[in-house]
Amino acid sequence: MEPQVDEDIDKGSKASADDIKFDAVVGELEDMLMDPYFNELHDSYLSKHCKEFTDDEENKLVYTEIFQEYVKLVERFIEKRLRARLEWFSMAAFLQMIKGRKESLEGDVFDVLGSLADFDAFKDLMLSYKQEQEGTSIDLSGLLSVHGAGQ
Amino acid sequence: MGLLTVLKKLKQKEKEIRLLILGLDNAGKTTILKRINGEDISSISPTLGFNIKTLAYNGYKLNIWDVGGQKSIRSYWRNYFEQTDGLVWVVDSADRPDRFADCKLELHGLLTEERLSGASLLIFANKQDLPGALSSEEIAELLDLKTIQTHHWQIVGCSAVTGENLLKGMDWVVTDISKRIYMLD
Repeated sequence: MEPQVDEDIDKGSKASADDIKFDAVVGELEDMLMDPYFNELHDSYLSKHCKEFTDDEENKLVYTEIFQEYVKLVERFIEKRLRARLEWFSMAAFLQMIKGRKESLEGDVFDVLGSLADFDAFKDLMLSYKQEQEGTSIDLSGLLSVHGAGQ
Repeated sequence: MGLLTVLKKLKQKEKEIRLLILGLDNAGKTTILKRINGEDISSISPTLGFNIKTLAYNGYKLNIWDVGGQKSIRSYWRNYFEQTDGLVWVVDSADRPDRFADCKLELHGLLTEERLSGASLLIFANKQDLPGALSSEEIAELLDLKTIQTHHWQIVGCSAVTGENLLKGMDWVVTDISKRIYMLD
């Protein structure tokens, strides 16, 4: 811990205001990942499109469209939710903030969210959903945390 | 870039480079990709979708995307431009003469794409092992490469079948990109 330096008080209070905002967003994102409404949105999108996926090495062009639409869907959901819950929230400002504090992104929530933008992970997820729909039983409850489990 | 993509990039543990391999159908894009990745190349059929390989190269993690080149699917190439650090344009150096006009047109079209504006450009004059293959100088002439001012570019004659010069090309493109994006680290 750095000792507080008095003459730096303006800078210090700016930093702590940012910290408070950052922590508030992280808390909201953590809640969101546990929220059945978010999980239902996620699951319904995956189960709607998983039939297109096969475990062939070559990918179909349509996977990319499904993936890009998924990323947009989740990003829109997150932004809408944060704006509804934190009146001061601005996505542009938040993106700027996280670029300047890479060291604060260690939490599981960022692992999970970052992994959602990974095409290979997305394809694996789709294939698991497909297997599950076809009756090969898989426990879905752990899916969201599976990709964060590398930490 | 939205939140998820920004997070994915910020969470990268290794230095990553994204390459996009494009070119007309039957240029040898997938063969080059598999050859670089040390895979069997004896039974490769035309790519109707796309392939992705991730490999470690000189301390970088390369994500290489190879998209099919048939005319009917070239309009999908645009879905793969985002975040591309290097474009690898593959040419069949022994192709029918009339195809080089098409090849030039497609390449110069890509160079006007905003999302590819920062990408380094490697041209592989492939199939140098075939009789009648044009040299890389002749290919450079046919594709009018000397007029390209917007991108760092390099042409390398190669053969995906024998493996000749593939690493030379990869070295150039990875070095050119790393100078640009990782020098600041």
